[in-house]
Amino acid sequence: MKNLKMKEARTALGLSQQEVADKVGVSRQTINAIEKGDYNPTIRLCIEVCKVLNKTLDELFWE
Amino acid sequence: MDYTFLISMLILLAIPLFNIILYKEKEDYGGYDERQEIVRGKAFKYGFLTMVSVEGIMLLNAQTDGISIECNFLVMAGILIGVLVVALYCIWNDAYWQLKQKPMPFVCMLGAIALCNMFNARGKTIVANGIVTWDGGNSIFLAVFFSIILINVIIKMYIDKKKNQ
Repeated sequence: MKNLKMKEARTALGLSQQEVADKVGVSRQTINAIEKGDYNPTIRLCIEVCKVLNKTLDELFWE
Repeated sequence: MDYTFLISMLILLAIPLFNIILYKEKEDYGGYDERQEIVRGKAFKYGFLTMVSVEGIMLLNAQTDGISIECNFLVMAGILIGVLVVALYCIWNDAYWQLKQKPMPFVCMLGAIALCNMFNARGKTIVANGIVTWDGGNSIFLAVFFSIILINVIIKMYIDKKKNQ
């Protein structure tokens, strides 16, 4: 299932997938895969993404 | 012996190797992220299963009246096909390059190695006395092996570039 909340949070901050990937320390393709719902990230990566996007885990990853 | 060709190929190989050492000293390698590690784990599994299957098929072929292949070539071909599966799976699942890694030195190196093997394969007899020999077959096999990886890397880089645009 697509993670539209994460995409919305990223675009709201005006960040590209590459910029988020660089800040989190993963590849652009990994951020793309999370947004498309092709990859289920670990809690550690979820927390890193939340910190970069200034959101809580619930806001980004809870359905 | 054609020393000019040998020296030029050594230089071709030395440039990307020098780049790799330079990047390593600058700690420009970011390693693989967690998704890439998972993909690479799957790739190694598929590669190993392919290698075992190919070796099995080739051994069965050797036991029957199929194509006769020299033992060295038989073993090496199985390993290389397994490695090829690993490489292609990683390339097409974005897990071949490490984070921050510059692919161009490696692309040059792959091209140089493929060229070296193509040159080395010239005039060699692949089948001698009805047996596919290691001496004749290895260069052409390695040339094809590195060419396949190179072509796939270039196509994937082109697709990624188009997507980014």
